[in-house]
Amino acid sequence: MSEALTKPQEAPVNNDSPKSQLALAFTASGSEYFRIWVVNLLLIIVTLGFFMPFAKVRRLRYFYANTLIDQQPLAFHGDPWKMLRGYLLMLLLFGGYAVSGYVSPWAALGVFLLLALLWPALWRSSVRFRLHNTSWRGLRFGFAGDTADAYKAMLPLFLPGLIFVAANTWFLSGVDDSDPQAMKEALEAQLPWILLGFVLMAALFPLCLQMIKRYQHQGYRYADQQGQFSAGAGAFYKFGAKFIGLSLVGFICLGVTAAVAVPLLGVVFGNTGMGGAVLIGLLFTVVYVGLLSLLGAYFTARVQNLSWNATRSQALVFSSSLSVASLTALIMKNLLLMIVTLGLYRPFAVVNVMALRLGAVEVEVEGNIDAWRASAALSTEATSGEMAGDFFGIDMGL
Amino acid sequence: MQARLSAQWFDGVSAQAQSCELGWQDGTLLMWVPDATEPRRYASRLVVWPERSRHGLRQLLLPDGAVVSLPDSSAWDSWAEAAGIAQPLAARWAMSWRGVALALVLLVATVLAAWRWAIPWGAQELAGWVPESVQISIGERVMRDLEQRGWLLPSELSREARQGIDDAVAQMVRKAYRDTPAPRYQLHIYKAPRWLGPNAFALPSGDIVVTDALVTLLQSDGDSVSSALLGVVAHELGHVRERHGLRLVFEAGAVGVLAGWWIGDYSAVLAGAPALAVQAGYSRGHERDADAHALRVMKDAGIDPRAMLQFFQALKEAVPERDGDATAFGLATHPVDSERMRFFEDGAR
Repeated sequence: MSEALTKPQEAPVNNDSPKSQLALAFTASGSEYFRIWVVNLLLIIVTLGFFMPFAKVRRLRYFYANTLIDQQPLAFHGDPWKMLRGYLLMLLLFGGYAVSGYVSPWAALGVFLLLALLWPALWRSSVRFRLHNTSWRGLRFGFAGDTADAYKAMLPLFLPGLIFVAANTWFLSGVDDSDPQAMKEALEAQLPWILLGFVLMAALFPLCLQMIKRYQHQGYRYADQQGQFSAGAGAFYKFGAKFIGLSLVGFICLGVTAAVAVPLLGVVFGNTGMGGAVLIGLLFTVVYVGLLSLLGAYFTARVQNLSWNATRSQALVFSSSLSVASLTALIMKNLLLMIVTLGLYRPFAVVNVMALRLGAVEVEVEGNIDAWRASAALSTEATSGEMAGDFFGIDMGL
Repeated sequence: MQARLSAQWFDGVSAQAQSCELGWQDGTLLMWVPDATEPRRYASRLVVWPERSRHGLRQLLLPDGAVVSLPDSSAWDSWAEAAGIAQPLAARWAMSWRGVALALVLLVATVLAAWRWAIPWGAQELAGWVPESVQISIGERVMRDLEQRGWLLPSELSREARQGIDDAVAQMVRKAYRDTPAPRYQLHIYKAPRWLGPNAFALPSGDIVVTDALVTLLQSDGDSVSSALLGVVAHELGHVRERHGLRLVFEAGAVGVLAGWWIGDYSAVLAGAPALAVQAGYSRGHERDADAHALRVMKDAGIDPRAMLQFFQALKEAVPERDGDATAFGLATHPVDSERMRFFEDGAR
């Protein structure tokens, strides 16, 4: 027994639930993951894709073994042989979709609708499978979100989708597509509905994002901890407005730069013909890719911060302070090195982005985790979760 | 029986770490846990053993849901080695740099082989399976679409001139395909917008479109059908016969899927550029094949292949910006003119 316990005067402040920080560490190395990745890739090719679930388990186990929470790693319990079934089912669904297009447009529509209808259920079962097969300190995580709520969370995106499909069938079915005039009229009659669909989609996207994040984060379970999510739709609309504002400013700047730079370069280089045009094109591509990186980083960082800062459970408080600037810089560096190495830098990029994103997260715990016990409900669910199949390997927003 | 190894045991019910000791006897893992006199026994094949790595902590996943955490990786590694617990092949492979280098070489070789042989061969086989009715309906749809866009307008050439071309082509096909069946084709002459210029293309259905501009470019002298025009049609016949249109669709699809799989989940833009370059490479290959076909047809029909030199020359004068710098990036869909001219010149000998 440690000496501290025998000396009352040195015990921590009298508080029923002392707060402490859970140290998060991500210790994976790019060069080591590179070796795992190369061998996985080769085995996938040689086995014509059969090795895919085994490769995925190896990858997950490597990352989990290197994700230390309070010095204890995560563990992945998924059985690759069972995951193979999920892969085959997905192959069947997407393969069916790809092939049905050749058979008839109606068959393609049918399979597409089937896929769209199944999507929320597949998504839920994949999140569930992943969490039920993840443990920390020997206790499994869990996911309590039910299927009905998965559909509700994705409903805001289904509505515009439904308008697209309905407008398409309503206005275009029965129109003789060899008659250009009839076709043109039908397309014109359809246009306002398509526009309505797009406007609705843009208007509903922040709401949908909030509902999806709330569904996910509220569903997280560990021991008797239940996820709580406090960010409302308002916060996501504020983020959406800022994102659209940033995109507009970015693209306007891009346009102005192009308008100024093109004649300027023309003056500097004279009329060198193709050489000058190539240079301008290259410059423009670099600036454009930079802008896309910035927008991507902004979206990722802000959604991560917004979601995790709003997440807690009875005894856990999460916070995230991922910086847009450092994520943008990292994404651009990764892009450059990927081009130079013809894609071989990819495993390094995956590791360093994960390290940056995880490094920005902090977890605070009230009380003593040693006293936590597996919830009875979770351990019975874990067995049925095994059957669900890992469909997409969706990440947990971290 | 070897020395015991101490580790941390999580029983799957409590989050508290408990100390335990591991032992190994005849392919069975023994685990001594607190408050139990007898060790727990686990058959080796039911335990998920950790793969060796430089970074990260080792864990054993036990069939009863418990997890053993090993704070000292190197102590575990030597203990496991002494016990004879084998690493899976993939892990052993990834551990040696020589193995990784070999995997990298094999990977690159596989990708190159897919690019050079497997994809073109697969596309050719797939194109062979597409029924004729589907090819015809694709052709009809494309023709209708082009007409609707106003890219194909009724020809302004005289009916006699068009008839003359039809007849000359028919005669060439008759002479050139004495021994083998001729590809099913349908020649169309259309007026096209200025930007399309002097041009000709073929569709999977066998529809071959020649623009008015090309006809007037090659036979300014009036009625007689120019050999160069017949050469161009012979080139398009090569595309039809070899099903280049469909093959390119399949090749482009395969390249797109592979490039997307390689880096697409990281960046779609990044995956797109090399995919385009590879697709253009396939297209250049098809053009060379079609040129070879044209050369054979012209020779068999008694037409001097050097007529094609006139075609490239006239094209260069009419469209000076052709043969641009696009070749520098490997994105050109056709080989450079000088190479093609040399081909016909050498072939004529």
